[in-house]
Amino acid sequence: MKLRASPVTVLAVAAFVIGSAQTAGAEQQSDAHDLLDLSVEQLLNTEVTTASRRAQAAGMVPAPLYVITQADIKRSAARSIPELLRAVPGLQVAQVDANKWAVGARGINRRFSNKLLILMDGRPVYSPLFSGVFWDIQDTDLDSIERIEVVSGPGATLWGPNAVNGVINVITRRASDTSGRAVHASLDGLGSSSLQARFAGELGSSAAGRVFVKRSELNGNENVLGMRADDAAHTRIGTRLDGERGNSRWLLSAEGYDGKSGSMTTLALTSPPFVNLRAVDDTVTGGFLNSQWSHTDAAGRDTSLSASFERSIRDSYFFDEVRNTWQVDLQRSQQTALGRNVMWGLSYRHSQDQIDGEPPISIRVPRATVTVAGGFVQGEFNLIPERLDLVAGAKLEYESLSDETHFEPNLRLRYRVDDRSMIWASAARAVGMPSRGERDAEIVGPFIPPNSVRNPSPLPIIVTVSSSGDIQAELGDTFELGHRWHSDRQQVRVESSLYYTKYRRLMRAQPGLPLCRPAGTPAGPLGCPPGTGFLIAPNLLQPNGKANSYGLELFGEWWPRERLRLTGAYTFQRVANTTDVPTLELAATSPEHQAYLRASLDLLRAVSADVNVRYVDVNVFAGIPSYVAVDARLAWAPRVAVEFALVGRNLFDPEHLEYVSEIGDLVPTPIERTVQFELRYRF
Amino acid sequence: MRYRTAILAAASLLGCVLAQTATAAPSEYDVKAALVFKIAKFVAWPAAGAREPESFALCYVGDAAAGRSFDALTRERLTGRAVNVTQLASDGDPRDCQILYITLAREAATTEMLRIAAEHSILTIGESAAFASRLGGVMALRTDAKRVRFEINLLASRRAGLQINSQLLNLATIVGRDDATSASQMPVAPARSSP
Repeated sequence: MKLRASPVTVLAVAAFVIGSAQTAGAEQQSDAHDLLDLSVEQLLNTEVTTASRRAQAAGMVPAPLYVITQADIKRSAARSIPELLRAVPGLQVAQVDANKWAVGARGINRRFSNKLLILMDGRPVYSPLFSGVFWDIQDTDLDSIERIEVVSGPGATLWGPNAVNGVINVITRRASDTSGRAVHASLDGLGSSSLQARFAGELGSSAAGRVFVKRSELNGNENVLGMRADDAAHTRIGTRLDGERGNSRWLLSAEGYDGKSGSMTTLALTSPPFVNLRAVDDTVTGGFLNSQWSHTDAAGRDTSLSASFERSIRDSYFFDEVRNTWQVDLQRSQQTALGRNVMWGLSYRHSQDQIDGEPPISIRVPRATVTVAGGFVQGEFNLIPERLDLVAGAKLEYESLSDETHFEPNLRLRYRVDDRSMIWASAARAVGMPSRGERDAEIVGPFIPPNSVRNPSPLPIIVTVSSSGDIQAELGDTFELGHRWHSDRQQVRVESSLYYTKYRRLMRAQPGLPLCRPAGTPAGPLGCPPGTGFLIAPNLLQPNGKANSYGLELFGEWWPRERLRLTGAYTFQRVANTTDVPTLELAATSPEHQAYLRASLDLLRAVSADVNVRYVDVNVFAGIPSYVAVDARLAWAPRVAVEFALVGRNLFDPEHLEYVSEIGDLVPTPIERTVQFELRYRF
Repeated sequence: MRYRTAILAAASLLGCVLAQTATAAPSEYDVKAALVFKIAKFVAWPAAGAREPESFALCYVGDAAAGRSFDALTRERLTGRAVNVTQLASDGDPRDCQILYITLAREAATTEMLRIAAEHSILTIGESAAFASRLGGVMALRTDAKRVRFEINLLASRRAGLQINSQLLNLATIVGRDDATSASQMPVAPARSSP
């Protein structure tokens, strides 16, 4: 018999063979139940698909990323978010008094640092009044925080405006990830106390909700004049609802706050005694609503949409402000053939206010609206397989106070040396937002007494600062280089980064000719006319300052034993002025060296101990000596649901000073040593 | 002849079509849930004495993606007992679980829970490189290059009083402090701001 295959037959057979081979070779069925028929060995050989995630391995991010985890938060002596940030290299945290904090990054730490972007669940919380953060209203329930991600440097492309020197993103826990009911109470030796209660539960099969109530009372420290004026009391309630359905997730959260914080202010007067000390209370009331929705489709594309609203009413010693802020944000990310991951986004922020200045501040424009609108695009491209990746992004942003549109490029390279270490480099531009204060405020003060080091003349000087009307956004161009390495079994991890930033268009206080008061004539070569009581040293804010800053940030982690973890951070930074007149930045630079060391030890079955030691170098300009501070926490959990803790804060010295206001409005207050007792109970 | 060719052609076409639909790879969690189920058959828990539970308790800490895959196991039976799947929050109480599975996203939040689990006879399974090698977990199922890798920490299994069948040990990478083999992937940090 002669076998003769017709072309059709040949094709048919070939197709069948190929078809079956594919089916057999695939070894898998998309039916989950059928997977149970496979052996362990077969399952381990099965190819899997993972949901598309914008998540990156922390070790692969080409930027200095530091994550504060829930365990870090629970075991730390910190009572507030700024205290938690002390452990992060590159951040400068100074406690102003019992209720105020100054947090800055990369050497620039004004109390209202305008080069740091803080986000709470994606919602920016900086105030356009001073382009800074009022930390007293960010006092959320720390037990509800899942993690805090800190990225040093210009994250402007991805995260938002104002991120010149860093982004801090506080992410709260999903409601479904908090169980039952919990109470957390604390009391310290100075009489400060706090009480928090939290309830969580399921809402149907795909959603959950959580509610908390928090009340804290802080007793003040004694300031340099021997008086206690920084008492504070705050109440906060909040809720978070979230759920998942299929490939969509949503979140709705809301918080309301009401409180008052005390200060002792020094006000410059234009007549003797020229200085008035006043103990004042800032009161603030407000709340926010935040919503997010995200979805991953079958092709692995992520979409996320968020919208938030915040209203705050603040009655402060310098001004009264009512502010309403809206924000909308859209982001999309997907894998493409071109690049590994492409993301783009649009955002719009609208903040409308009414501000009344109180002497010594006056606000020229009492009502204003500040809008920021922007869009960004970012792509990740693989240049050499398994080795070199490029992340390139750009943001276009419009800001209404300066009426300018900016282009902010952000380039990052990542080179994988081996599977344990990598090197990254970046070049980026970021824009610092101008503030309402810089454009519209006139400040009278500080007061410099006669016959003193800063004022050898026999007449007292009162410094005034006002805007020249020329408002431009500050620019920072940053170049960074970083390295990351971990040991074989991840017992040791070291990260380092170097940066150099060129700032331009910094707000500079340009001094004018001193004026003799009450005559109002400029002080000539012959001095002032008779009858002169004091001198005014006027300053006009001009956006023509330049400065360079550079530094090194180091972080290390070591697990010498399974139950012992050691971490350390070291920061070196220097800000150098390149114009003859100091910028506001230079006036508020931070100490050059800073170090932080922490040990976490699981002692016995239910006992844990944490100690941290920090060193902050001398701050020459502000006249603050260097200091060492030690915090320690010892906790005992006799049962799963109960924990007692003893916390010691600032144990090294009876007290030490961390901050002196660069505009001289507050009486310096050293921070005192305290011991605190804490109880956490779940039921 | 033509008739046969036609059938052959049709069958091959069908084969191709089937091949296309059948090559969709299963989801990561479906495979992991199946692995957990199979692994449990090779592990012996210490005798609980009078407290022998009626159902087999499988607990997981994770979100809905993991939940869907694990919940599907409730239709199965393990060592003759019904499987009871429970989702725990990261601050939940694991003491009634026989198997505790912790997803990557929740790992950083469950250090306390792991400490408690280590003091009871619980088979803890995680997803990161550090889970079995450093954090004291017993096993890890890591996804690497589209496949699931399997690691066992013998010291942790002995501390938990668990006996692991040698057949299973042969299929796994043994990790832990006393060991030269390395876990070479950094812990994963979840996305920027997921709701």
